[in-house]
Amino acid sequence: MGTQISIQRSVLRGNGEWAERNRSFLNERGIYAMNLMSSPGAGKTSLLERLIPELSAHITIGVIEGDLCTTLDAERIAKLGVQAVQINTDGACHLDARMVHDALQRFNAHRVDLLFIENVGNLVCPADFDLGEHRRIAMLSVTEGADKVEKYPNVFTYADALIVSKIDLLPYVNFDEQFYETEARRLNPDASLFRVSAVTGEGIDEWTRWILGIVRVFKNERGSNSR
Amino acid sequence: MHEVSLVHEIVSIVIEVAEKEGLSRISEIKLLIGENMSILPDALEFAFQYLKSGKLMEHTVLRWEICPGREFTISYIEGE
Repeated sequence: MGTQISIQRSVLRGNGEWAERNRSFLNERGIYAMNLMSSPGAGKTSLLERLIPELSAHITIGVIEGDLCTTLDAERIAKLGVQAVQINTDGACHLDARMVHDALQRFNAHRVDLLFIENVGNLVCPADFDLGEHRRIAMLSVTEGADKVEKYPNVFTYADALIVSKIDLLPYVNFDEQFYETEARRLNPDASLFRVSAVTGEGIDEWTRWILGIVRVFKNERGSNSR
Repeated sequence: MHEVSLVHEIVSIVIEVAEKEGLSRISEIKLLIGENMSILPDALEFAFQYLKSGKLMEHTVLRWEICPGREFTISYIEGE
C-alpha cells in the first residue's frame, strides 16, 4: 500500500497565472482585450475587417491572430493599417495564456486601446482557457445552425456577448432565430446579443457602439490618462 | 482535443510533487472534473498513455470523479 498525497491543485493554475500576468500587463497600459471565439469559418476575421475601420476613427486597435498554421489572417488585418501579431499553435486547438503573453511582447503596446484576440477556430477547447482578456465574445454563423448553442454550451455560457454572423444569408438557410435566442438567453441570461453581417454591414453600428462604450468605461475607470 | 495540453500539465505537476515527496512510483492519480468543463475523460486517458513519464508512471492508473461546476483539479496521488 503506497502513500496518498493530497494535491488539491487546479490543473489550469499554470494557465491562470499567465492569464493574470497578461491582465496586469494590459491594465497597466490601458489596453482593453476581447477574446473572440467561434468555429473555423464563422467569419471572425471578416467581421474584424469590417469593424476595424469603424473603430479606428475613435480608438487604436491591435489584433492577435491565433491559427494552427499560416500568417494569412494577420496579413489580412495588417492591410487595414493596424498592428497584427500572428500566433501559430502548430496543431494546438486553442490559444493559452502563455502564447498570448509571448505575443504581447511582440506588440508596440503603448499605442493600443483595444486588443482583439482572435482565438483558434473551435467551439470546444478555447472555452476552458482564460487568456487574461476583459471580455469573451462567442460567435455563431447562421450556416452552422441554431442548435450549436445547445450542443456546445460552454463557449456560449461563459461569454459576455454572443454574436450571430452572416445574417445576410438568413433567407437561404434554416436558422431559427427565435430558437437561438431562447437557448442563448436560457444558457446566458446576462450576455449582450448582437446580429451582424460583414458583407452588408448590418448590425456593425450597434456592435461598434457597444465596444466603444465599454472601452470608454474602462478608460474612465483608469482615470482617462492612458494615452 | 485540448486534453493533450491538460495531461501535459497534470504530468508536470505530478512529477514536481513526486520529486518533492520522494516517490519513485505513482500508482494512482485522482482527478476532479467539473461537468461544465469541456473535458472528455476518455481523451484524458488516451493522452495520458502517450504523455506519462517513464518508470515513475509506468503503472499509474488515472481515476476521476465528475463534480458540478468548472473545477478541474488533481485531488491526490498515490505512490511509494
